[in-house]
Amino acid sequence: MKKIMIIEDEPDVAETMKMFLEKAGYRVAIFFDPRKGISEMKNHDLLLLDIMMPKMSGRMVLAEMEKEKIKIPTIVVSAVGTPMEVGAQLSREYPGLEFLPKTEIAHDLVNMIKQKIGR
Amino acid sequence: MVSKSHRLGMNQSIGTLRQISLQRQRTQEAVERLHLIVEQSPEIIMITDVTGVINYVNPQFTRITGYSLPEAIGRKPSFLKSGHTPDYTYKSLWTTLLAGKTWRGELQNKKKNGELFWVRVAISPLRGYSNEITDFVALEEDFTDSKRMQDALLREKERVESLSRAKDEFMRTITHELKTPLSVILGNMSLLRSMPPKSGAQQWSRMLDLIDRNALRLRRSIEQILQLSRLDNLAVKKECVKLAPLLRDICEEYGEFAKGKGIKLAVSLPGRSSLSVSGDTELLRLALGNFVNNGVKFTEEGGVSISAKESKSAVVITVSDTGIGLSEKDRGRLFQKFFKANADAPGSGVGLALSAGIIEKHGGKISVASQPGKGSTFEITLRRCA
Repeated sequence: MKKIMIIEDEPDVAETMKMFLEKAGYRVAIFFDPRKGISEMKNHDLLLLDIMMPKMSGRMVLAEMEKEKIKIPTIVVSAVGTPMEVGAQLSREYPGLEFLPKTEIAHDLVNMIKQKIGR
Repeated sequence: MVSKSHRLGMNQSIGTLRQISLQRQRTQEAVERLHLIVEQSPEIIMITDVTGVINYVNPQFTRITGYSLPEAIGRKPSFLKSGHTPDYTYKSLWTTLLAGKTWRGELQNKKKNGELFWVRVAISPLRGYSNEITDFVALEEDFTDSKRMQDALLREKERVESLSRAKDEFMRTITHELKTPLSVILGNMSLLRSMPPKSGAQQWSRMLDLIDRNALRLRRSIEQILQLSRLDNLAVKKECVKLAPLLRDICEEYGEFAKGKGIKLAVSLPGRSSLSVSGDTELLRLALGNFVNNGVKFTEEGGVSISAKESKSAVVITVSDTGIGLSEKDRGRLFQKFFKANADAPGSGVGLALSAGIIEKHGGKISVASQPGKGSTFEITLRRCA
């Protein structure tokens, strides 16, 4: 069973995503502390990453992952801006990164993940 | 008898004399006209010798600076210095003049009465018949009004640009504030739809809770945004607000939020818990609630504690957390309308700005003590209600 990591500071959003993913047959681990998440990334198959977080933003997490040369399929899930804005900027710096607006979790989350890492 | 040739000769001489006298008259008139031009010029005209000592100033100089002709003659123009024009400007001025060229620039000078003024200056060397420099002539236009307007416009442009940036930040914050609970609602609605009620009453119940809670959160966010936009025209009720029930309510409101993060949230009031403050119950609920919300939002371990105590004719409410804390720079700007400690932080922009506005309307005060990594303590002082 594939393991998915969620780094998100809003507990309700994290829980909602977890329910979708478990229903689709994935194992899910939620990390409210980005640093703890970074150290566990090697044990997971995909990362769902929030951008707006108080202690360490999504951007800072991506930079840290780049520095530590951690490679894991990543989808940025954000409540800010449209995928066009946030996506255009970040995909220039991190090719391969994908984006999902938080309001579209119901429609697209599971499909996107299936496409990236299979069932 | 005068001979014909003599007569011709005399006529010629008289003619020449008349021509010379006409010439002199014309020259005289020309000189006088030039003199008038200089005297009546709307620009300041100053003439100095090659060492810079003034030997003439026109009436416009006196009109603008307040210094009369005798007061200026014999001195160097440096007595007009305001102290605001940098030294290198004067150095460049002299270098240009001594090289025989015209210097153009702007100077800020000082009038006799101490008032400062700006002049646009063109100083040229005057050359004598053997092409050596004999004097310097300065033509100066007073453009103080124009300069002041220019500066004001520039400041206004900067202010507008900064507000525009702040507004963009604010819009980003609001979008995030509203979209987050909305995404939980949408997500759980979809899950409910895909799960028949029989297959898990517990899960159904959980999803309904999430929807309920986030719909309330959405409503609160919209309420706060509206309140913030109306803050200036707000009418504050004067009620006697009992703190114990109010703070307990707030604790309950944010209890789930804290529990979800695994941190504590508690109120502690002194034995005689009939402490009351004078103010508007609903507004205070909003204001104090934001402090608690903030505390929980920015704390990962430990918790948030609320307490209150009497202090002369006031009550001091303390909201203390063990969260990420604030730097000195951030502390100073915390209650600015659109402030966020870091651009990607979930904004406390609306919340705290609203709280600050409400407390201010109550005649109260807020102080914050905080250090990065060591948590924050907010003290809110309000008037006691007897």
